[in-house]
Amino acid sequence: MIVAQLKTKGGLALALLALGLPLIAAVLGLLLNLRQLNFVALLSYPGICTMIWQGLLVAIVVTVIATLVVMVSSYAISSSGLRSIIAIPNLAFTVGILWLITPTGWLWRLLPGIEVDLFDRQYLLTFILILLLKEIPFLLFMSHRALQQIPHQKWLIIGQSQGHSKAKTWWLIVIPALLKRLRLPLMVVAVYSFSVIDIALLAAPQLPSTLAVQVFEWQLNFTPDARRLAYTGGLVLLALSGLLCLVVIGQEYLIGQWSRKRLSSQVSRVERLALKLLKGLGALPVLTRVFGILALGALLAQSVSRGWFYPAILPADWTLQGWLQEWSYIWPGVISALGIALIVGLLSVLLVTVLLELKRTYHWRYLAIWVLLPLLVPQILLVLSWHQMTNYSGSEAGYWLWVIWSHMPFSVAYAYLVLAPQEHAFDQRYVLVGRALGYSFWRSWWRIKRPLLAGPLYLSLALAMFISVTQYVPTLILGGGRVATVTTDLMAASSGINTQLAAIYALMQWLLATGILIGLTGLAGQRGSSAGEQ
Amino acid sequence: MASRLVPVLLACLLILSSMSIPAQSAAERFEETAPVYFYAWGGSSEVNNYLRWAAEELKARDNIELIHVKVGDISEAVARLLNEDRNASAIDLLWINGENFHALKAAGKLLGKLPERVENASKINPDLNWQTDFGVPVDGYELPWGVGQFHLLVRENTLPVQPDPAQLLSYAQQHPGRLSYPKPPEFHGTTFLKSLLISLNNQDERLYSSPDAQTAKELLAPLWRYLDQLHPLLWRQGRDFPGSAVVQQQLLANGQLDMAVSFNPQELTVAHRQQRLPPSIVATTIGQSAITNSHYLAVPAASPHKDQALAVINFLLSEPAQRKKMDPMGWGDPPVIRLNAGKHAPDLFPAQSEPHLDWLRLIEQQWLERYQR
Repeated sequence: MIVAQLKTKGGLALALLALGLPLIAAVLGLLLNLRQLNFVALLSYPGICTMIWQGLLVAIVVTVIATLVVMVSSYAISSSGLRSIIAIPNLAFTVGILWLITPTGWLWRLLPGIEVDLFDRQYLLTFILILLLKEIPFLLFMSHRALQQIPHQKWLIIGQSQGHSKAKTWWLIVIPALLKRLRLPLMVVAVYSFSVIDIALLAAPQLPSTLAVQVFEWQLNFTPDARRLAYTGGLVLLALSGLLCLVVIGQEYLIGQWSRKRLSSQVSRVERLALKLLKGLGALPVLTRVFGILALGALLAQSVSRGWFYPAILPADWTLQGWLQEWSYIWPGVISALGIALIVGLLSVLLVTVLLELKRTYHWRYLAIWVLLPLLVPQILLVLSWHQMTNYSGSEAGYWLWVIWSHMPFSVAYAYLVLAPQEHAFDQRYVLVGRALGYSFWRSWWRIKRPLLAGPLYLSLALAMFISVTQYVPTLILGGGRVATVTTDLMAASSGINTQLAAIYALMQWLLATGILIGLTGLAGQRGSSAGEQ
Repeated sequence: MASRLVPVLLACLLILSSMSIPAQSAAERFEETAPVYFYAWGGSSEVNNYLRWAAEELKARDNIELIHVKVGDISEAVARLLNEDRNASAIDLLWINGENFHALKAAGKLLGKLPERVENASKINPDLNWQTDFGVPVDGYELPWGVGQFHLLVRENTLPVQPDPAQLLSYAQQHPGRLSYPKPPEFHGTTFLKSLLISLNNQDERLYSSPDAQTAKELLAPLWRYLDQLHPLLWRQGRDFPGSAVVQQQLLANGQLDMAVSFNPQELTVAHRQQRLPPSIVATTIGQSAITNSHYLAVPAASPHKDQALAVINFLLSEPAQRKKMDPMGWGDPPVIRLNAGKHAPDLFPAQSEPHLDWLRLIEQQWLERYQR
């Protein structure tokens, strides 16, 4: 049995190779270019300081507010409605939100006479708001997975039986434990907010923009100077991403310290007031949902309308012409995206499963960092190193393989984020019982552990597939144009002035992503309602 | 007699010049279906539809499968090509001009002698100033496909027709916050600055060659003086600029600005047909003429389907393809070949050549140093 052999060294080597190769390739790519390093040029580039502080400010504000929101509202709000919001692709979401909230946006048209230009295009505040609306659902989702591993209900009851209020028990006992489990997702949020490009291009200020956008633009320029700047800027981006991870740990430490102190002393009046005010943040998840639905409505409306200028509430024309014209051209991209996602998703879950079993056997402590590294390194840096290392041109099947390979690190990372905590909480003695009955290790895993973990397994498959669907840069660069997905089509369409065309492809991408997420998590809900949960 | 001799001589030349690469340019069916991966900007449904039509024609005529690889920015493809080794490229055909072309030409990534390899290259309109691309010789490494003209889209009854820089400034003084331009180094933004530079220096000849430091300083000074005056009167007091021409057009459409810019001579026609812009918008130029350039087709030297790629270029430069391209109900891009009698090419503004590429680099660099903090 192949499965049985996986446990032995062959499996170990295979898993390490599959996971390590992209990173090794990237590291080699980075090292090979070391002579490109030029900090003097970078630091004397106009506006570099603003770019850096702007990027850091946004990342820190988003991370801190998102953490507060999760602390305030994790308990009360269910994550079931959040999946479709998580599934809205960034670009589509940004376009939709801007169309609603900018001063000539549709929401303000409903309230004539009121002029609010707080959230215009290319404002830092708008950028932060959009990131928050996008990241809060993801974090809430992760925090619900995390809460399932803490016996928080029991703790709340014990706390109350000791005469503490529910709120106090929540803040002082549950929250520190929850934050510890949210450490990695919070790092992902921080680094993502810092290095995001597509949202920043539309929503963030441009004079100057954020460091990530500037590095991206340098990458697209080919003068030797720009290449050096791109390389050095990319490394600075990497270093600051590391710093942001430390900020997340620092934040967790501070909150932990505070709750430890307050366990034995009274919560002061100021703190009580602050906590009350924080409760207001509990409205944000609801707002997220409302805006998500509105953004989708906006996209749908744009895809079937013409001549819709401020201050008109309705467009001059409704038309299906855009859809009719593109209809037959949309599907190849949707189908390739789905096919790639299916392969990438299944391989990712398989790999993560094997890695987690190996982690149990060999007690690997730093596996999480290694697996999540692709999310903590600016993507454009990774992809160009890969391309330099692989430098493939040949048969068409080869391009597809490289695209699948290039999606893997990102999908594996997200699959790991979902699966690892649940797997960690699993009682491995069940598998041992199976072995005692005479099954081989993997057969025992398949017969006993798999059904018990079915929920998290489906969920990690869903997220891995979703991440694969949304990959643009790796698909384009390593696919060599042979692999066109709905996402590459969307990026091309969005680069033009035709908002109707962009809206159509954005909706199709959203439909595919949300179909995967809701379909598979629905299965997860059916199959694994008891698995891994308290 | 002479007219017959030319093709014969050309054919001889072709055979001599490309012993290793059999020249294929006549409309001759290929035995086996072969793909041509054409990397081209995919942000316009009009262009996409045109290429879909071309693909059908090429399949029927030449047994070529033209595959439009849509990219958001062609520099993504250029980055890939520069990163590739010399054996075989994933790219067979490229739609480029300006800096992208020069980067590839300088790196030796392009197939040369295109005018000799492509039969229809002889039909290219000699009046078209296509032999230099942004002031640098093309040297046979690319062939023109269509024409771009930089112009303004202006709300009626706001700016004067064909405003010169002084009129733009006085309008901004009367109506602060109503004008802007895309943020350089976005190419619409830098072209706006080049137009101003040309106007402010009264079409100085030195703008069309690479400048020395003294010339650069002398001719750029009026531009920076002008912009120092203009910027506080622009959208957001010149502290930020629209991130792209698309954003600027949306600001124009919703009444936040009175002006946007475009390179597509048919932009207004198409925008009005698709109702992307209100009917009250008109097209005009800065000063008397519009910066005009060609956009080009080029073949990577390492393309595995060179013959087919050349046949595609040959088709795209043919009369039917160029006529179809200029149809204002479709793409509406002006032709680059001399058309036989009949339908006329779309009306263009009086043409103004692009300044030499080095001016672009100077403008980009100094603009950032002055205004980005």
